[in-house]
Amino acid sequence: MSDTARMHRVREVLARGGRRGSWQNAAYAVYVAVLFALFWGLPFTQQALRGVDPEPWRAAADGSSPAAVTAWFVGVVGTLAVVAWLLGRVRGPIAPDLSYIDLVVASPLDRALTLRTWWRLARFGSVIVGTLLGLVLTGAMAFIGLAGLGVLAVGAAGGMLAGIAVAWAWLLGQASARGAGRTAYPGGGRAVAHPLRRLTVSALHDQAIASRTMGGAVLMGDLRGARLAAGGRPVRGRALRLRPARAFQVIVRRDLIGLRRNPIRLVAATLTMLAGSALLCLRVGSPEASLWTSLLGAFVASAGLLGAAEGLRLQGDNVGTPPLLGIPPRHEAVAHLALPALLYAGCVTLAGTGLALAGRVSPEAMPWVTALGGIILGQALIGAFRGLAPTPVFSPGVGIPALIAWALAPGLFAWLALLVCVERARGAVQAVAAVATGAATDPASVDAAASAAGSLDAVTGALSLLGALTVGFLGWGFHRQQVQTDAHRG
Amino acid sequence: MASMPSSPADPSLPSGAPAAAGADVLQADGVTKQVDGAWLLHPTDLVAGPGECVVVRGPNGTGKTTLLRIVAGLLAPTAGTVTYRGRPVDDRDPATRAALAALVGAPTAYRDLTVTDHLVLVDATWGGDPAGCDARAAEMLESLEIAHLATRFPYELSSGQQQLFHLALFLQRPARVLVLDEPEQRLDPHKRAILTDILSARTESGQTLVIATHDEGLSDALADYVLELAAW
Repeated sequence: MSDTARMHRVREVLARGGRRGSWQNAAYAVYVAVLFALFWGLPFTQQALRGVDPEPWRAAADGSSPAAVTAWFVGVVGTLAVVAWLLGRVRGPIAPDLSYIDLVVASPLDRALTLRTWWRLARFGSVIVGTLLGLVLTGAMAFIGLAGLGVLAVGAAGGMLAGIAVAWAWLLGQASARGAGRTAYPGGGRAVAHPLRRLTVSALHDQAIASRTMGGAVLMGDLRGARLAAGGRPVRGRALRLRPARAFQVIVRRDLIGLRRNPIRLVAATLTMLAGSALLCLRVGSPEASLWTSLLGAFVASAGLLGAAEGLRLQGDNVGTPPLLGIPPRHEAVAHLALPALLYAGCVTLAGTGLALAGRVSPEAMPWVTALGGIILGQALIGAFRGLAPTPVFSPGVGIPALIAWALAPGLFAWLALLVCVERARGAVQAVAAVATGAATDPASVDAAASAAGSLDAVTGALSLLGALTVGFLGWGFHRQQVQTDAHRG
Repeated sequence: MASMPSSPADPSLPSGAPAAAGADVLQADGVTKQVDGAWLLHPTDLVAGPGECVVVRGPNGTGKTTLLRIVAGLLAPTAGTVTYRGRPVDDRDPATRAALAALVGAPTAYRDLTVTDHLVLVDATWGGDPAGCDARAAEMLESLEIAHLATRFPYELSSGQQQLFHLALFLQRPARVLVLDEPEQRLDPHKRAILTDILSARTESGQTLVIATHDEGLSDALADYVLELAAW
């Protein structure tokens, strides 16, 4: 009996005479994705495109700059493929459950055959998502008159190609991960060229267990457990040495060496912080910048800084174990905040200076955006010391929405606080700019004096609000740290 | 080494060491632990002075680990008190943290630091002279015969090596009282002998030891007093 025939028998047994569900589920997921794209993606993308400079988009649509469009497309797809490859090294598309791995994948059947369903599903999903994204983007362009309807075909084709590229990168990432086979098995010959045949039972097993642990932890409101299950392990920088220093300094160095051993995290966090702080500088220091820049900037800057706060999260992970370090837990937490704070300040300075030199923003925006980091540091503290979800979240009738609300609440509050502060800072910067303009034209006028008083009020108000929210978030974070540190005493 | 059988039938009786003289005394008086009405630890007393070793023994589930967590100030007792030098033991208190080191369960470890980095970090945060941190870390690894693991990350260690790494972390910090829960776990006979020598040297230097163990060899070699917890 051939492997294909055996696999057919296996599927029959697994389906127990019923209908196979995977493709039905996939069809339903496509239906939901299409609805989401139509009712949320399209209107939001239109709105976003209305807020940007239309000329480059118009030029791209009318085909007057094919080289630029191609470069943009290759750049975007390349970036997505790299991200997918990295994701695949942690969580790949081939994710059968444990019993299937032990009973079917471990059998002598051709592995490419036993794992083919997951690969097809992943490829199908990636192509559908890519196509929908292409259609949403080009559809929004067509709706607001940036392009004709013909651009839809280009969007669909481009999205489909991007989807295929991302799916392959994802699979290749999984096939090149730790534990996957890198060489041919004895007698394998050219057969192992297919990435599916390079996947080992052990690697699939590890991923399935991590996925199950992660899923269970998320459902239980154990964000720490989920993070630990998802977290990668350092494989670089073994030769680096933690240089001894005084207590506070050595903890900062600990965090630095941790980031150097995880260069992907360091680069991703730095680039994200640069992008986020640039957007925030634009909103605070440029009258033309739309509200979208702060909505996105607050989120991206937070994500970047939180990414660099790994040392703080590790402290949170270790809460409850006998203390080994000779530094009080609160001082340790402060020390763990130092490096993310410095990185954030550096990114704001770099992004703000660049934009100011380009004449896009007023340099006064930089100190404001730097000061916003205090709220994000508070958010990092709260996140590191969340602990388990409170019991009422699991009450009957409350369920998953309450768990999601609990998980998202600190981030959402911090995001809203950042938005409010950005708007107040923007008002203060503009008021000061108006005073400078008024003073230059007629320094002695009554209007100039009134404007100066108004700008002082705006600056004082913004500073007070920012100070209060920063103290509030840091205070909340340190309170969580104290609660978690004491909780294990029972 | 003296071994003093305790009274398993009546755990309310003083069952550890006779009162040790001097100021640096670790003393537990009638400590208990109950959770939702279930007894994790019945009333127990323990006294240990400088240079003394109290070995806690007993079948599984009699509260050895719970007692050690209470003695180390990691867990609040339901009743009774634990004091060191007359001061209540509580790991939130910097004085407790400075005096007592506990190896009860897996200690803090960072997955992005190597074995040596961990030892340097522990030493430096306890105020060790930065100029000598590297040498002291190397010395500690040598003493446990795991110098070849210096550049490994914790997840790259076998279970026995993990235990030796945890012992190295624990022994690297300064302390007057050492509290250990089954330190011989997963160690081969040779490494157990090394551990016994190291802990003997610690008591000879005046440190107080409280150890829970099922290893009779370790118990015989170290124990000044044996606290036998009874099954209930």
